[in-house]
Amino acid sequence: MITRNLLKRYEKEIFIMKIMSIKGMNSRRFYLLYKEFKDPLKIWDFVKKEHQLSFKFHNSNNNSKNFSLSIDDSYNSKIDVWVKSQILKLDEIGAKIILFDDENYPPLLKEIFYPPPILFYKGEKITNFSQSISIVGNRRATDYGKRVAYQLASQLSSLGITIVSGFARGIDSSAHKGAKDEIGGTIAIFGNGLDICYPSENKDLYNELAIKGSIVSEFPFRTPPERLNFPRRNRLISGISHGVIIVEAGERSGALITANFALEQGKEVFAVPGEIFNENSVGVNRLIQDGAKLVISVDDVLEEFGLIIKDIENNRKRKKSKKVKNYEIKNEGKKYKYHRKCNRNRGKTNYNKETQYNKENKHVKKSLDINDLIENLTEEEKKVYLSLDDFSQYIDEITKKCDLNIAKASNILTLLEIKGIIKCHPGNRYSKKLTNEHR
Amino acid sequence: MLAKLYSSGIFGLDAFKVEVEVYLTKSLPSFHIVGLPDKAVNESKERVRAGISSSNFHFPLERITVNLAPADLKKEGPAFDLPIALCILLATKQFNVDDLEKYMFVGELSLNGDIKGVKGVLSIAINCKNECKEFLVVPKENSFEAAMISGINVIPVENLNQVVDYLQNRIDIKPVKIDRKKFLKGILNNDIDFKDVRGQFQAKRALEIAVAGGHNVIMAGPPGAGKSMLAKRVSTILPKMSFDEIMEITRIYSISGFLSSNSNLIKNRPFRNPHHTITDVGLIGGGVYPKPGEISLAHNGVLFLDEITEFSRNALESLRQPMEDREIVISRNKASFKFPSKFMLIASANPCPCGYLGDSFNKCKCSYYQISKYRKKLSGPLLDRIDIHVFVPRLLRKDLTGDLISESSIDIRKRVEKAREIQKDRFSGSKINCNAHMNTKHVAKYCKLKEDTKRLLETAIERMGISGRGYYRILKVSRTIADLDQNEEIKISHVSEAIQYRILDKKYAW
Repeated sequence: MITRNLLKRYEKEIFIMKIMSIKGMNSRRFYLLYKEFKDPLKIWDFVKKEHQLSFKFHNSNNNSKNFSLSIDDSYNSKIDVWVKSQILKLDEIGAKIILFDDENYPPLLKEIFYPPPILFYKGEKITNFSQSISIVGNRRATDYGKRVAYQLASQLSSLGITIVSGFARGIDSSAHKGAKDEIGGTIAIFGNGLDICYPSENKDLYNELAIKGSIVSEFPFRTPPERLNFPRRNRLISGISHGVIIVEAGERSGALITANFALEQGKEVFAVPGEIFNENSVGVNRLIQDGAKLVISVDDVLEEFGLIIKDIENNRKRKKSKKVKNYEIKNEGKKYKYHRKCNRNRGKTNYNKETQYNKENKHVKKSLDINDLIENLTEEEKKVYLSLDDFSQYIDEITKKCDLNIAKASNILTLLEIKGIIKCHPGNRYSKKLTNEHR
Repeated sequence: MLAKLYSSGIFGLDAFKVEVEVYLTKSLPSFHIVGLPDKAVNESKERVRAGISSSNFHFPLERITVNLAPADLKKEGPAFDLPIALCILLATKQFNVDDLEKYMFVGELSLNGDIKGVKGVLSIAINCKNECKEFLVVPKENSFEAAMISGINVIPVENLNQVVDYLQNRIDIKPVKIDRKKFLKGILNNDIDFKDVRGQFQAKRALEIAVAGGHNVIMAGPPGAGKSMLAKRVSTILPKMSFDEIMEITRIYSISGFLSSNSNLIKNRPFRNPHHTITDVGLIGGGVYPKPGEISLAHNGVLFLDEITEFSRNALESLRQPMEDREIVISRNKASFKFPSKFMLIASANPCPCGYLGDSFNKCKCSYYQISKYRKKLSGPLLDRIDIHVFVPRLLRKDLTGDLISESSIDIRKRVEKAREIQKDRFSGSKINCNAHMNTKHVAKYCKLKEDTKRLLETAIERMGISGRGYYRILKVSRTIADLDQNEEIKISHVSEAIQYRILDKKYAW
């Protein structure tokens, strides 16, 4: 009975799912068919009746193109079982479906060519956000990259901007983690079915985002994370956001595909510079060379959208009163050009004020926490803590620096690590813990 | 025409008395050996025939039947050549002695009548004593080994003629007597010393703790960091062996035939370094006539598995049970053999397939998947039996060439021996003798923590993602650190140092 009710409730969705599951079907073809029949039900009936579908259409240059789809009988019977299982899964994990003609469908996504006709999602963020920026990058990220992603994400999100990313290891995960607790929230776009948590070590993040933010996929349930899915996912990431920030990308990184989609879709491309010796940064540095906007701080991103300082101030007040409200981005110039077109002077003033704001806020917070802890340390612990750096050092070097014996140094480092003010890296290396924990 | 003598055969690690009987009948000349002889025993026919002839005796042209009793135990090796030859001479009345009951003979005959060394003489000597025989006639090569057992007269012999002359009192051979104390003095290998290793303070400290408590260690680090160099130097800080320990290990080496004639005893703790292509049988022992494997050869010493991830899964997993029981039982259809295997495992591995994870010079090029796959080669249960994990980084050039002098092995060894003394007193009533071998009962008894220390350990486990199995390991290691510190109580500093040596347990740190 439950199933029947469910099937009834999702009638339209089911037809679209059926149509999209036909071999050879894609978003573009769906829209061509939709234009012709105006109703998913009719499309499906037609396909079912004909078994073979040949479709001819004219594009803007008056060149005619055609495509054909075919479904056989066995497929026809299987599809009902499949759809039923999909709907049950949907009900089981508490996900929802959003269609291309729903009013909740992300408006930015509507603007790209052939947006996916059906989206599966969990968490309400996707249905109510206005500004969004995506942060993407390498899966094998360096500490530096993760730190940048975390920081940018949390700062942008604290200003009410939603952070979009791809839930992959490395940069993506850090971006989600940075943004998830701020008011802007975060949206994760999957390259697989929503019921699969890939990568599996992000299980906690998966559960958190399903409540606090959104997890979204255009793929039906049980779709495994296959290679070919990811470029499609990247198209959505850039499509759903106003701009894309690339943090660390190797020469052939998937993040560069996202950047390309962003360009095609007329979005702004930002890039965080990396070390020139680092293979992980070759791609992103080349992007900068090609004209992507170089990002040093969050202000560089805000500047491009002409977000004025007043909004930020207002937002700060709103943040205190815990009211989440979105505000408009005032556009300056054309966004889809690489070259900066905005008023430099204005940008500069913004920058100064913004930094000041950042400094006040962040530093006070940091000093409160850590100074207290440092005050309570013993002399030797303090000595060890102060000898540490932001980059990691091997335990022997620290021992030598502090002129301790190894046994003593080991136990002090463990105590400091337990207190949570230093961090252990692969190979028994230690560094100071950053204010933003970015694991 | 019957003659009878006593000899001894090897069964696993022990020896058993063998009665060698020869019966001659007038018939077509032939030579038969019965009593489950193996190939080497069967071939002794030819050696005995040639040996007797070339020693100017007469080889009988009759039907010769040799029986090795007990008939149901397999006999192996050439050690029965001498008793068979003597028995034939007795049966043909080429010489005569009355009190042969008092003698036990072993030795391999050469074609010219010389007597060569055999395996397992130490076990044979023990058997000889147990069987209440007064004289043990052994090849000269093995005489010192046999003489370690007091209460028997060890007669070293060089050729068949000499034996016959001795038995007929024509010549006198003095029983070998050795000065045990002089013999037990260990000869330390002076070629290597911990002084040679520059830097690597943490690794050295970890090894010191490991040796002090008998803990197993794994060293992770990039290639060329000096993991093997460190491991080889562990033998220089191992505590001296007691007489019993020396006898145990010498017996194992004796039956494996690894004793050379000039060093008849294993006086230094063994350091075994098998190659990673070794099979599970090679590692734990086995074969048709089961022989001790590397783990038994490393008994009372160190088994070093270099590049442990390259060993076959079978071989590594077979280590689990002997590591726990400190002995290995090899079962064959006729009998099961027990070999001791109380070794300390030192393993080395790269942190990832390319080896450079956590290295300051080279970037690691492995994907997450590759790394996790590589680490799965070390199974959880095996890692569970390794108490100390330490990272060995590559050194900067200035550290390698600097004039910073590190501690010598002798100094470290002194501390280790002190810590071992404490442990000996602690476990005087029980079967174990070092901290690493404590079971949960012992841990509960000897590793009591104060309330605040306990709280610290619990927070550490929670915060640093240390697995539950690490808990007991940390307690044991902190017990050893406290012992090194000559401290009865386990303090916060001891526990927190012990936590340092659980890097493989931490979720993110290797």
